[in-house]
Amino acid sequence: MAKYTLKRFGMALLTLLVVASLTFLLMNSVPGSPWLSEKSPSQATINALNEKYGMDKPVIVQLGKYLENLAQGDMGVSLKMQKNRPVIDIIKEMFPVSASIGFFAVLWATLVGVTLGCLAAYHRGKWLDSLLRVVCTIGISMPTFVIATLLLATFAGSNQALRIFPTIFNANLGFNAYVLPCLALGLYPMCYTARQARSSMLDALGQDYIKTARAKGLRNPTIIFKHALRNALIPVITYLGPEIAFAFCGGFVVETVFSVPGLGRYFIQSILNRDYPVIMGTTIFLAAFIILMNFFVDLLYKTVDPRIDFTEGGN
Amino acid sequence: MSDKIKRAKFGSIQPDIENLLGLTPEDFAPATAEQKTDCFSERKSMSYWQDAWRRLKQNKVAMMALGVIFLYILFAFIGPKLVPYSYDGFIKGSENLYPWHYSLEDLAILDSVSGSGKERLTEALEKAENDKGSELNSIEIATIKATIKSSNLDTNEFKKENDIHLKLFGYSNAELQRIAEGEKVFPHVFGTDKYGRDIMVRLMIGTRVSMVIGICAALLVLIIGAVYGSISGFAGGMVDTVMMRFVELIYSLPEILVVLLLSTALKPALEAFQNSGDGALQKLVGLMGPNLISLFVAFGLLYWVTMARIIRGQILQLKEQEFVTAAKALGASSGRIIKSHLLPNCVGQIVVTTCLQIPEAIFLESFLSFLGVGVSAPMTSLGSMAADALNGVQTYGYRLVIPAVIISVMILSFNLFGDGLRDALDPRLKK
Repeated sequence: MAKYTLKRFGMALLTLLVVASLTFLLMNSVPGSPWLSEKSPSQATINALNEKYGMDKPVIVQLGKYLENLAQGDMGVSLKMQKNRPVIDIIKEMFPVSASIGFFAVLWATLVGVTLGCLAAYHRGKWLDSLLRVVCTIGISMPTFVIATLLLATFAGSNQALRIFPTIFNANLGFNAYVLPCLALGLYPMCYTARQARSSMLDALGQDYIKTARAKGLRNPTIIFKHALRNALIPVITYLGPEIAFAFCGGFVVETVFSVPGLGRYFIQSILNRDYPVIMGTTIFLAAFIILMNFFVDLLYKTVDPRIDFTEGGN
Repeated sequence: MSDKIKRAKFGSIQPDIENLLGLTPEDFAPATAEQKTDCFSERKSMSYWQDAWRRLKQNKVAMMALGVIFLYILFAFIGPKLVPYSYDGFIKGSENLYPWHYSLEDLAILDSVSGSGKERLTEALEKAENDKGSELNSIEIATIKATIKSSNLDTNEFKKENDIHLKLFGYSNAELQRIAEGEKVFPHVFGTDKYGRDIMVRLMIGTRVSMVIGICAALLVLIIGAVYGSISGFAGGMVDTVMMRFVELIYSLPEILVVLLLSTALKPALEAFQNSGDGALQKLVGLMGPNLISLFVAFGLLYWVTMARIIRGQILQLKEQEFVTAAKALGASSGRIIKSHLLPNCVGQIVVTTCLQIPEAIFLESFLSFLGVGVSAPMTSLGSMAADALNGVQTYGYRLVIPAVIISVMILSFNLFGDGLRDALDPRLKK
């Protein structure tokens, strides 16, 4: 286990290094620069600015310098959007907003998804099962932006009675502000989880140990919640990693639609503005977060199901 | 025997005897001559594809999805040729048309009513001024205007009395005039946007963009994944380990972030390439548009790993079989064995994975276009149309709903068809 953890951790670090280098090289290959705005500066100004921010050196030297600074926790300063403000400060301000929305979305998606999946498996072949299957298939076919914009159109539309929830995010409103973004963000993972929970629950109910439990005379709820559910949850856990990643990246759309001052929206704006340090900083931060989450989920998976073999040859 | 078959209780370990037999007295009737000949006639042997097609045909949902996909292809590829408008042509005087209109006579009646409304307003204002004896302040004027307006709001009843109905499709007044003069004018089925561009044509082009990206990306994924996976699986040993490590690395990249970056970085590079010369490749880039290419290249570069893993797994199983040994003994090269012995044997898996890759690519394209980093103007896409519609969502809600529904139904039918295809080609995977 320790060896495996160490190996996975090394892999995570390597991935992060690749992401950082890739982003840096891509950013430098894009024509256009952060200095170009409505009034185009003179060549001398551009040269001076390039020199000041170390952008006159070869790309590889810049990359080395950047990685060195990154190792010391310095992500540089914003060049354009919030001039000279450290990127790390911007992330510190915006990430908690994104994280809280992502967290609540994943929470409701998993809870509701697992419950619905179990219900469907329990009522296999009956109308409830068919209904849930139709709903979930439609749910995973709707892009997040469709769900988000349709919610917005419904709740911000001309019908006054429907204006229950604010469509422009305002953290001071507490619970109400979170309803629409979390609903939009969680619908896709919810449907996906429900489908997965249904099939793994059916799988578990067909196993011999369920028959044994019945033969012992255990009651239905005990069998379902104590014996079947535990095993049915394992595939659901594998999906948790990508789900968290989705909730934070799908956040781009939801944050744009509901005007949430989160990291995702800021990231898109920084790409459009070519604010290199902000793009770099946000990418690396989000990538590190996602990679770390996947790492934890893998470890969790291994702890929950010790049968899984991660050593050489295992799959 | 009762009509209702008794089922065992949920989870019971008692065998389901009645269900097991499920016989009725008719089942014991002697067979007719026809049935006997049927029983002995030989069944034709079926090829793999015939068998799969037979199974697919039985799947009603998948066939319906296939029909919908076919309609979409007609809509996206034939449609723009039939409609006399272009996706980027501004039609002067037809800005912001609704997908419905009033006929000219009805408009004249409505105009006269709102004209009388104006007269009523001036009358009311004059009366109030006389009553008060001095000039009205702005608040009082606003109140009077509001009351007149609300009393005017029973226009719905007025419309009913005069038998005025909304008619389907959008026409501008000038176009209605031309129709009255006997000219034929193609209707704006879904109205026009704020620049006077026909929304239906834009939807057709947007659907085409989504489909082209979906199919090209899936093909790219297929090519890279098949080559990489088969080499890795066939070579085995150290080569396999190293190649799979690389796959693992790409697997753990946060894909959406990288696709976002790649597509923004590739677009200018491709544009520069397009302008660099006049060769065949440059022409191809020009034909498809740099932003389309950058989107599916970004997709293909990241999503081939799933395909590579699946094919590697298949090849690992297949390469131990006798026909490969026989091919080796006959002196076939590795490339030949992979190409003509191994890959044809995993074609079912390849087709299914490719087909399920299409909706995923469409998903991603619409996501990027919605955020404004995908297809760029004047080219359009369903995602960017939905994003444009967000600003006027209260007045022009249908502009948001139509592209949203089109894209959702498209992804849904690709998903359902892919599922059906999987069941037909590989019945073991059926859940």
